[in-house]
Amino acid sequence: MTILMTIITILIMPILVPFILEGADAHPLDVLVNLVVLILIPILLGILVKSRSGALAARLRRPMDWISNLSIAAIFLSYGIIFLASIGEIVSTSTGATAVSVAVVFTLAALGLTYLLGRRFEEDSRMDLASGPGSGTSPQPSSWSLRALRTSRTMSFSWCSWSVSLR
Amino acid sequence: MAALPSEMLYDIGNIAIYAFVLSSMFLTGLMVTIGDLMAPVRNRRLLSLALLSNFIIVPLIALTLIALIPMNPELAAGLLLVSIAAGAPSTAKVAQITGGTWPRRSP
Repeated sequence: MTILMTIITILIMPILVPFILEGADAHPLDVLVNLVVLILIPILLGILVKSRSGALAARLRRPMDWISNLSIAAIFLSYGIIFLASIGEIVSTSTGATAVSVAVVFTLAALGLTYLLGRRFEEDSRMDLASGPGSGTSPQPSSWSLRALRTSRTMSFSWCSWSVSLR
Repeated sequence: MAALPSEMLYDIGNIAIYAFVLSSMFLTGLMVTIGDLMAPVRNRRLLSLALLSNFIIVPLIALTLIALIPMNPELAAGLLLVSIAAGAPSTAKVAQITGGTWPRRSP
């Protein structure tokens, strides 16, 4: 479901971005090309490799997982340091304080509503519904806490990146 | 923070974004088949709910916040962009971390 949402996002982003960024130089074709090159082609390439040689795909998974984990750690660390170093400066301005509070409210509202919508589904599906804007929980309280902790950690990094990108 | 380290951190972050997006999308492809990609389509109720929540409800939350809280246009545009990015590349990693339907390794 997560990948399907990614593909749908690739299709609708080029249409919506020029409307959202009115006045900015954002041509739908440029947005589409970027998304196709960075997202769709690598996915299709991976599928092609797997269909041609399962053994090669299996060998490539581990290094790709490492690169993916290391690079996301680098993203969070670099932007996190920039964000934390300037957090005082950010929240001291009205724009910065608004951005941080809106990010918190938006994430919590999106997470809560999408999770509630998926409460009739199995845990995996609830997670998928909520993991676009936030994430979800499992029925057991202990697991709930663990997942909530993981999620809040992940989301706090997202807030950092987002707030930094707004500067 | 001094200008140089900050610029270096931005450069590291920007390079890491490309490395992350390309590697995680390629990794995703290595774990699925076309059949796996299309499997959620068969669960129409879940698919409808996913589309409703990701492309209607979440953007509506953003629009409500924009209407209720006075904010500058750049911030509002950023919030809207975040709200419609249901399938941003990091989503797959978040799903993997939180236990969502990240493609499991299959032979």
